[in-house]
Amino acid sequence: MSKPTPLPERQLRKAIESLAASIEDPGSKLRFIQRAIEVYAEQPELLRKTSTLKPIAVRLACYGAFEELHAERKLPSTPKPREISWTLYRLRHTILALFILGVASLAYAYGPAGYRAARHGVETVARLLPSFSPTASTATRAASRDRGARQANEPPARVTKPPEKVWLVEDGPLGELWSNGLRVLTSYHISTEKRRYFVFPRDGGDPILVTEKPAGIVYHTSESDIAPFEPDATGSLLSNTRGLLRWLRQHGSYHYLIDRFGRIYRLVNESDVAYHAGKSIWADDDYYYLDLNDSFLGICFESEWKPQASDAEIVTPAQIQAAMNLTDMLRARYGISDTNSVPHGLISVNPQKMLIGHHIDWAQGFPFAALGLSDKYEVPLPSILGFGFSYDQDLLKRMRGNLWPGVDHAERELRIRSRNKGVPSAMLRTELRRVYRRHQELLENARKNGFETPAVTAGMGS
Amino acid sequence: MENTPKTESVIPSAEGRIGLDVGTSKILVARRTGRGLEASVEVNAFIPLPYSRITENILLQNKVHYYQENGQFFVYGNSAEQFASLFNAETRRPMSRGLINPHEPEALTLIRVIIQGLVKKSKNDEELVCFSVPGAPVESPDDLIYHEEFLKNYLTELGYRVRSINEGQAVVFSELEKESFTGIGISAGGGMCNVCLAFLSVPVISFSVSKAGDYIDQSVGSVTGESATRVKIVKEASLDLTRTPQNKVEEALHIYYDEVIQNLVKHLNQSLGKASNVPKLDRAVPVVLAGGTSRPKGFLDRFEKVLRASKCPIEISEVRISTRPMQATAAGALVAAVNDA
Repeated sequence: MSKPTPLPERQLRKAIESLAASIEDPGSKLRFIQRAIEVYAEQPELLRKTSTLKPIAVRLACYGAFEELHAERKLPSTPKPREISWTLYRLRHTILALFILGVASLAYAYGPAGYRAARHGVETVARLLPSFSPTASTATRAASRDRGARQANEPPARVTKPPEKVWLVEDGPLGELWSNGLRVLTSYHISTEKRRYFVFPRDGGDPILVTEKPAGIVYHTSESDIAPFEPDATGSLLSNTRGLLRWLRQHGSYHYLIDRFGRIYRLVNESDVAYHAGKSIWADDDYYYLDLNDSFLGICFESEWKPQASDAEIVTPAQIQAAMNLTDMLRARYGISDTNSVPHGLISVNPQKMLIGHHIDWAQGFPFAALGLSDKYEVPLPSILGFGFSYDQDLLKRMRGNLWPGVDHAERELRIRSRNKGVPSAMLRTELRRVYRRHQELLENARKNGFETPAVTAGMGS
Repeated sequence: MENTPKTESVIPSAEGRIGLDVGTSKILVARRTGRGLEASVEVNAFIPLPYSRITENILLQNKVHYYQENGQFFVYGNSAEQFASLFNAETRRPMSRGLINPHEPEALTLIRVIIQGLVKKSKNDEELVCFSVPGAPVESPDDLIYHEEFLKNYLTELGYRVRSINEGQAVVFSELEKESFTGIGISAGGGMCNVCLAFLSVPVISFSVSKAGDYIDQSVGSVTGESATRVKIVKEASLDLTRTPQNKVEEALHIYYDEVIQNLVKHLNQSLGKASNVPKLDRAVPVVLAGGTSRPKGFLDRFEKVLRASKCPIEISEVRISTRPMQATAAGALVAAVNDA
């Protein structure tokens, strides 16, 4: 049985019932009621116990729960409340910003004493009103919990700094040896087409044509047959890899494959395009990258990704070590930024439906720390923020209800932008989607005419 | 001979979520299938038959659910009652008064077999079962832990994530959605009557009384000389509490139904009177009746009459019967399962 929940007070009950009446699905209604009671219990005691402040605590609880369910798409046909308090709730960040602005003005006007008083006031408000801080959706909160639970199984974070220089030591018939100990087996590699791609400046400037130099790395899983990593299964492990190599080589799927024993195979020349990322979007500080086959290198782990599995369940320690060395080499060789080293699940999109998460391998559990990379799950998702993509119930289902936090961060930033611009977020999203389609048109035309376009040409992209 | 679980549509749900009502007389499962939302039921009873080739042929020809052990056939589920009636024998019950029957040596095996037949093994580790458990019986401080843990362990073995829910609370979840899950849910089943007063889905009081359907069947059987199984079949097939009894069995059924109702109302009032955590309610709350024992025509009127005549500590707005009395608990457990993140 679940742990006892405190009984809701009368004022809270009335507010809950008034909002719950508009929710049709029994499961969603139950979830809303129970969540509102929980959120109310989390409100600061001062709010709950002071009769004049209690209505604020009640509204924060009810609207917080309502907003969460909306964010999870659990209330598809439920209209949003028409009360003024709902509008105020939606504007709470603006109200807080105005309050801080007022306090800052006070500080400016009255010097150090005023500054101290103002800072004290802001800190008190921040302490009393945690609900004013952005609310992560339940899906991403659940993901955070899962990440916490997984930490025990995660490989330790990298302790050494990535080397600044990595150079080729030996290039023999069996493969290459690099100065950081990286060994690359080269007997399987093929040539495809030469790399040429556009990058789209984030400030809205003209697209820039880049040749040869890769802009980043995308990490994949092979989703192929995986035998247990046990001595008895060595035969199967080896034969699975052989079959996979044959298939990948025929299709030019990735630049590199890392097998279960950590052996690295180059499959496609680094100066050529591999067909690993399909329709995809990523961004660094300066540029948006679309259709990352053209611009990013593809590294594939021979493994099967599952939502909520720890990285230790997905890849072997030897694969992590190999991926670290390979990443170091590629980053040092091409000056690839940490920002542009990203898992496939975060970049893959479906442009027909304008949805993120078309493929979801490594959408959770990628061993960033072990590879010496920053956590890209926290990065506001460029496809949402830059081009108005969204997600649907199907993605939530495939991800077992846990989306990575970057989705929520991007959605929130998009809302703030729409507020700052004074346009509804749906309108802003539509405009962003239009920009995406314009970029896509440009890319399609460029591909048709061999990238001979009037756009600016550059030797290096970043 | 009927041997497949009966299927009826119930409520909206989510994929991979299952509501399971483990009752003394029936085990019922509610879930979403390819055809929509469905409930399947098996009688929670069995009858042992001595081994013979002829018996085996009959069982096979009629596609009866059975298994063979120690030179005996164990016919279970929906077929068990029909066989018992055919041979004028009593079925045996794996459960008694809402809990695993401590006096039945085959209890655990039979519950496992019946549940597995209904629930099947989980296909992935994300599927979730929410099963019903009775409230603490007011007459005896029986330990629910063994019963609950046994079911939890078994469903976990089948590969599910497992939750449990009080049976009365499940009725609230299933039937009082329009009232924002505030009111009294009563599941009047075979072994027990389970009661829960919930306030915005939060249970305030819950308890169970063991005078329920089986008590009526056994008492009527003992005063009329009929077997309890036969009484049960008569009760479920034709009992009408609004009309004058037509025979000795009906006469006795009327009497014992009244006693069950009186007993239930008495304990409801006592529990509400004793509870210190009942909130001040600014309006009357509804009562919903569910479970097989509430099905006979006239049960609602008799119950409401007795309840209104008693000094109920809280104001009652209406007394109504579930639109799906047999599936209400499983459907409520399904709502709880869907609600589980």
